[in-house]
Amino acid sequence: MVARFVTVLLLLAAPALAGTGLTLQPERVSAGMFFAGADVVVQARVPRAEQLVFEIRGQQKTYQLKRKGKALGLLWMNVGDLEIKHAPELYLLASSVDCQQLASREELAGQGVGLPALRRQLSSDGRPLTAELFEDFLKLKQSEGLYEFRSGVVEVDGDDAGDVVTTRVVFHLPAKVPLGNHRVRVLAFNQGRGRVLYEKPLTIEQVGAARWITVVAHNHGLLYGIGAVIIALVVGLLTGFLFGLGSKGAH
Amino acid sequence: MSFSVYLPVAGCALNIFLLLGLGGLVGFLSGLFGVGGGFLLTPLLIMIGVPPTVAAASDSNQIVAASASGTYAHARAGSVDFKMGLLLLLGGIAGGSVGVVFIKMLRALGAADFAIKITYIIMLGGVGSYMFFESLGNLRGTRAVAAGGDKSRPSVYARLVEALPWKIHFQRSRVTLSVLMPLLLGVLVGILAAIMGVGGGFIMVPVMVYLLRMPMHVVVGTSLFQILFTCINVTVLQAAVNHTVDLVLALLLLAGSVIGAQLGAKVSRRLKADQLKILMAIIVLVVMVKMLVGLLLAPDIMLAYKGGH
Repeated sequence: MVARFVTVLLLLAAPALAGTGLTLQPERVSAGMFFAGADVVVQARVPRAEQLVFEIRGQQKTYQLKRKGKALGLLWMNVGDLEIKHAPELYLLASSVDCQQLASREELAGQGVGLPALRRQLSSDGRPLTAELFEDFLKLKQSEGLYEFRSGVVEVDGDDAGDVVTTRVVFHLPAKVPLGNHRVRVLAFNQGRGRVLYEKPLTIEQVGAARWITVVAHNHGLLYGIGAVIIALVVGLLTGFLFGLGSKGAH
Repeated sequence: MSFSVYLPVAGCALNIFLLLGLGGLVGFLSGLFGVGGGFLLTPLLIMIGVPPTVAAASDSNQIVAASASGTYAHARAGSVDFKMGLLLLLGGIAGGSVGVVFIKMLRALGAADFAIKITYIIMLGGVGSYMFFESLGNLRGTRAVAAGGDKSRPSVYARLVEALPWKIHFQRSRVTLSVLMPLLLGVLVGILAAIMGVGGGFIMVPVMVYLLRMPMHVVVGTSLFQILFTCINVTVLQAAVNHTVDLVLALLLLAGSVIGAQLGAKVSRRLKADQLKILMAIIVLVVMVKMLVGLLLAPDIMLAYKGGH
């Protein structure tokens, strides 16, 4: 009883508890030669009766993009370049209810949660993104599965009867998931106020042959290029020779 | 089992059989028509999720294998004009350098994308239509007016060709031409190829057929020979400067394409020249129409990542 009371007190106290009560399965995602994406199960012990937000957020990056528009009033093509700054490479969000029902836009933005925070964070040419540009950028990232916003997907363990319950969200990472360290956060919202309960890193790394190829491609580009050409020449000429043997006398 | 393979440089996973199939299809076209197939394969790779820069660079690597395989097959059959190929290659390298500078200037003016798309449409539409109708006329037996026109009155082009100095005989192609012809036409194709961001095979083939008057079967082998060297250069440069060659992607594509190239070369020798030309014209026109439709329809997503063609 005392232990449960202490747990609830600890959970109610911000700031975030690094890892306590939060488990990631797996904590490191390995991208080998047959990696086709992965599921990450995020499990957290949280106070009952609070609304929750689970999120996986990647590193911030500057994106060089082309904007499409009409040329000569007729043809759709790239009509200009633009740069979007401070955009997370990956942003997957899962909440117990729709984010709009959790708190005001200001509170969400203040907690760095959801679309309001994202909108506030991104910039182009030193200015905030227009609504139209923000929508277009979201569409682009969502089409790759790198941004996702789901509600009503937080599972609560039915066996827990106390004040603290075990909750769970399954995130699917696409094969295109950016490599490196990402941040997993669990936030609780109560009466329009939010606080971070847990925070933990999630690492995605290439392993085995995939890692070796990437390292050589980046660190020894010239040798890698020459090697790639030699392999292509050998395969091409060998196939030509073998097919030639098969058709000997035909010409 | 998903049969997916992870492409480490591209950073995405794709179905193995899809990549083998795409490679096979493009290799077949390469062996059949003497084109590298970059103008077809790169957009297809982008469509299935490969980043544009990686698609273009890895495609060049697989073309090395397909064109080596195809060149070997054609060389055995005696249908590669090495002398003509080398001259076109020299011109192409010079033209490519000019084209790169030109496109850099257009980019600075913000008009590069427009110039590239319009050049594509005009080139594909013009070349495809001319080849199609000319070959159709020949196949029907109602031979269209020959490129040389009335034999009693040589055309301006024929007189210009005749007036050029330093003539040499190209035995394999069975033509006697000034050395300047393949060099200058190589420069022209090199410029266009650099602007369009492709190897230039689909421009080079019509140039050889209609302007250099080479026999179609020698054109295919010679074009592959020239493409081989162009793509070796591009692959090494892309790997060294941009680090965008994905070896796994290239290996799967080339495994399909070398076999496709051999089959294409076999079929190529069994078809008549006009049948080959009309098939290539249809493919060029299909690509042109697809591109035109893409330009006329509003895209779903109004942003795209920079890079690629």
